[in-house]
Amino acid sequence: MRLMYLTVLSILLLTACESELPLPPGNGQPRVVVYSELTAGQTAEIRVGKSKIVQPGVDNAFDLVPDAVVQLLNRDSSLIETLGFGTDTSNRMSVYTGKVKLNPNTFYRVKVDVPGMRTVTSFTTIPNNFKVDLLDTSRTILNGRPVLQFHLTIHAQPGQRQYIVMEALKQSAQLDSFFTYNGVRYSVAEYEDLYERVKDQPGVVITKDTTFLNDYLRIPVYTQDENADNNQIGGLNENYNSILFTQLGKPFTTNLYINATALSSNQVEAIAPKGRVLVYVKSVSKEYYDFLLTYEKVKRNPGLNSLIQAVQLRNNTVGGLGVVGGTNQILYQLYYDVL
Amino acid sequence: MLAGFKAQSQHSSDSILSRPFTPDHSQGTILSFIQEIQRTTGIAISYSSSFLHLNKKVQLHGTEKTTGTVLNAILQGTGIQAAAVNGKIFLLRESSQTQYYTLSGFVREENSKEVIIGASIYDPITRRGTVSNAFGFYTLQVPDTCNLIVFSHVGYEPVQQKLPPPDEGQLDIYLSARNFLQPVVVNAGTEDSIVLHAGYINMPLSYLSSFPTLLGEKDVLKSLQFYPGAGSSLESSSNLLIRGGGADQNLYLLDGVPIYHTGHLFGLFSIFNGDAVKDVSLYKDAFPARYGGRLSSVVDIRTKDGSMKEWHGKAVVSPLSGSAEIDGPIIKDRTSMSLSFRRSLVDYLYGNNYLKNYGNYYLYDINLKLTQVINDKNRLYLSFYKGQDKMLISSDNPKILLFDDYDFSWSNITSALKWASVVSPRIFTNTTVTYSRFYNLFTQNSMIPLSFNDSLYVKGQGVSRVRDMAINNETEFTINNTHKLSFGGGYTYHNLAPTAYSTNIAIGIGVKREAPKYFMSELNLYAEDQMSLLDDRLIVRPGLHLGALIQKGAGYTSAQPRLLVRWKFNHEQYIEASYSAMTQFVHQLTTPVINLPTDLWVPSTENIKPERSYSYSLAYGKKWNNDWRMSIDGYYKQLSDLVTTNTVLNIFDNSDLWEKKVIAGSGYNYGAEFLLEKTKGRFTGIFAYTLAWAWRQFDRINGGRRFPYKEDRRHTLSLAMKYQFKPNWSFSASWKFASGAPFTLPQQIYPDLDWARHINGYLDERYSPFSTYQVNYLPFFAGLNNYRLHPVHHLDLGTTIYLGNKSRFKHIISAGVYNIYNRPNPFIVSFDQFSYFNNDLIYPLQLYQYSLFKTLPYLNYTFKF
Repeated sequence: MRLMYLTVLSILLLTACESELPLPPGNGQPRVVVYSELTAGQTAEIRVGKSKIVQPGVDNAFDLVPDAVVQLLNRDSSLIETLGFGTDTSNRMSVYTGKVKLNPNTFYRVKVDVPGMRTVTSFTTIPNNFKVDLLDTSRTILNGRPVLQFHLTIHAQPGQRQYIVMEALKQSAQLDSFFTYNGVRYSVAEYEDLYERVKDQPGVVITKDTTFLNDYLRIPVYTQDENADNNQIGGLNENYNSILFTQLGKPFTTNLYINATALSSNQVEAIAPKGRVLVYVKSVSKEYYDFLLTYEKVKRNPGLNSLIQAVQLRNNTVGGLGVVGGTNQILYQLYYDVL
Repeated sequence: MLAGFKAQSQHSSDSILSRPFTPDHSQGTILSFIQEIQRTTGIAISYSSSFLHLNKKVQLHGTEKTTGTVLNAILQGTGIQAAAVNGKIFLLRESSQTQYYTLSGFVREENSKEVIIGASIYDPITRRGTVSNAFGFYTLQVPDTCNLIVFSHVGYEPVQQKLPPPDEGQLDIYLSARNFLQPVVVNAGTEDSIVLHAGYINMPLSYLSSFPTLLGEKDVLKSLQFYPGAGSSLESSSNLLIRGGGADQNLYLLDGVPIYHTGHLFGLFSIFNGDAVKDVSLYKDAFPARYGGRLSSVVDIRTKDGSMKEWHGKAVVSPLSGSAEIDGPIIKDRTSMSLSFRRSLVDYLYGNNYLKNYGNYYLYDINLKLTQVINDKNRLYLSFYKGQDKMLISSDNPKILLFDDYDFSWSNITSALKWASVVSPRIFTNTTVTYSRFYNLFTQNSMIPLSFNDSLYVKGQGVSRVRDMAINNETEFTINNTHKLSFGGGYTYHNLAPTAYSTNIAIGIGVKREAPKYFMSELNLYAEDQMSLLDDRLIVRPGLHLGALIQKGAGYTSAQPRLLVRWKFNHEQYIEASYSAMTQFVHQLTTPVINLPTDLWVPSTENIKPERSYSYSLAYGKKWNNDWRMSIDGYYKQLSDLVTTNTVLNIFDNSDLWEKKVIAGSGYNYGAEFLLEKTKGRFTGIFAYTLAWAWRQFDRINGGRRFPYKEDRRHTLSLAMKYQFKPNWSFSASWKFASGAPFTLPQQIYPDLDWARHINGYLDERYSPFSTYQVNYLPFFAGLNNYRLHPVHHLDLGTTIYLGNKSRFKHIISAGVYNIYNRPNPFIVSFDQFSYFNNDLIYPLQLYQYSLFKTLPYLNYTFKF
């Protein structure tokens, strides 16, 4: 068992002498990192960053790349649009966004130029629209854990493979309360004293405002389906970031289980933030699917020690690192918290 | 010569040889009939005992009525004729040929009557001879001109046996053990045997105690690592790696029973108790046709039979372990037993402190062997082995941050019943029924928090096991000294249950999956022909091993040809070439390189083909005066349908469908080996150097490009020396060096996808001590295994003092120091992986090396009687 291996390893390490070794001199040049899910019906959003050479003195801080030229191109390399740089300072990678709505069953190229670095190109095809029947949802217990079960039928694309990815996130929400007093709108949090004095007076109007944040919690998901490609990664009783299926031209019905612990927040526990639950069923391009399959392995076991074989991530960026995937998604939004 | 005599004495011969004579008995020896003729008729009979086997028993038909007919009858088949010359009868050899007769029997130790494996039996003039087999049996044809043969073996005083033998029947020879204070002698006098080819190592047992070891523990597999081509994964690991092959590619046979897990204490020590072992053989190439089932090597270990004459005992105590051994006759000269027991003492001696902090651990081994002599030609052997490791780690220990109680328990059980039989002086056969079981049990009590007020209490139990039952027959037919046939076959029933997990957790809506079990039949047949040609200069040994696997939904067959060709030069030199094809039907899926019992043994299935290897070798060898021997080997091994997985398997999860995680690929290993061994005298030792490459290639790993195998070591060197200062005092030193192991170091790191999107994952619940530790980067690997760890090397010194040489009770004190210059060798090297105590968001990334052994002294005391 992985646990057994790690436990034994822990014991051996505790009895071992640790010494720091200098990293060997690095080789190669830093590369531009590009992440994007080009999603049908949405505008392009592309994250750009830089890799770091592993060499003496390296740390895990990453620079933003505000000076990139990020272009969305057609198959024939004609320009669709140049994406604009987002100025949100909380971003961990630089985010470039477009204005053109992306179409299903369409080929797109992405070209990223960062001064002084190699140009990165990548391409993908957004899968065609697909149909999912949500047959049922129910709360239940799976291997001792409370879960929310999604009973789904996913219809196939005639004559072609479809790569299905299912995942669940909880998006944090910020709840703000306001009150209007003498025609002026005040934040309850900022003017708490005033609010306490006037809240019962006639004419005071109290309103609530919910803002969804750029902050997510990944909710573990499960499957019991032996046809899931998660079988290539681990056991079916384990939890995953996403459940992955390769669909071969036939509809299939399956159950997606998401961990129910995080569905609703609890002030006391702070296990999960207050927010909404987003359950995605995505049809993705093959390159993105291959990336996610290896990404799942890496998240489970980064392989950064000499006892475990490293897993190499698949990517489809030429001249850089990262992945540009085409996605056509169906989203289920669940509200368990009072917002 | 005979024709000349005939011409001169035609007349008189008629009268002397036609003289009426009827013997008193129809049965007797040749000598008794000759004497009776002389006594009764008064005719003098002249003969030479050097070519006439006088004690041979003969049977007359009853129709012989003259001296001539009686002599013709008793000399029939001997190539000797009677001729009458000048009133005498001469028994003369036919002029055209030298006559041969066959000697056979067992070579045994004088005191204990235990059979001796690998003893040399040879004509000291021609140096032609043979070697006793695994049951101590030999067959040798000698010319009637030969009047002496020599029996010798490492550690025994040689015996010179005059010929012809004193009586008809088996010639059993008893060798007395050398004084144990004498310097080790290795392989003296056995140069002529094809058995001792370059890729074959018959390790002197003295190596187990001659050289310093980690904590003073005798270890069979670590001792084999002194030889070229044999290495280990990690410093002082008993994980034996042969010529770039994995540990699972070695066929370990304990008294003929396959062993599936060979490591105690995570591979730091092997399960083979050095005190119970009688003979250790390692085949690296030119595999005899009787062996099959693994790709890289065969390690054939035989345990002691026990003395038929008197009881002996031995006890060894060290600060870490104790062992005891007793052997002797249950019925004198009929039934013997050998019983040995070894146990770690850490839990007894340090239980209150050390184990409270780290957990409870112990291991033990039991070896039992019973030998029954049915008669001179038949013996029965019953052997049994059990080895057990047990480790208990409680969640309340203060040193290891765990939330659960763990109980690990793994064991091997083997037993074998053998019947060895001499069918005729030229035919020896043995039939063996075996049972082998590897059983790995893991129990866990965990509390998994589900919410603030709710937790999941998990009591889980996992089992992974292998169970084999087999019957095998091996037969040797010695046609003559230059021609020997071996053939046989067997059937093995495999029962594998790689993953079986049960828990108290209500499965709820989940799918209940039964533990997968595999039942399969493996059949094998083999034949081998060993021929000496061109006046014994050329030796050719072709062989064929046929293997077949039958399992539900899958069936595979495999023809595995073997060939060994050796050309002998003058001055004890030879060149040898060999080819071996091998097939492996069971596979070990393993992630770590430490010898954990988490290794999963799985069968070939409909989707997973048997692994195959094709190895070629070319060797040159030379000896000098039986003191020194040297060999240079080159090898190339091609591997196909290799099985691996690039994910961590959960062996205690019925839902972990291992077959979907297995990928197949290929590999090739090549290299050169050099061995120089000093085998006699006060100073003895071994120097070995290996230059090797091992590559692997899988479609879905490393972009389909080849990469160095995790066990690839470019240079391996070992130097071990022993000097006998005085008869009762020796000093030894050994130095081992191995190039650094391959390690995949990221060339670059880049932002993690989830981290970049502000997706956090602390609600993870993964069963890992590192579950709450989330790195913000992904590694980019330019190539697998592109970086090398630091080399592993250590110098060890030891000394042994023997006391009570003239007394019945003997004492041996061994002491030494491991890794005397305190080299911190890499056990694990990690890139940022285990620095999870760092809570800073931004921190420097480092390589961390963990070393297990620094300078470690040892002290052992042995008591023998």
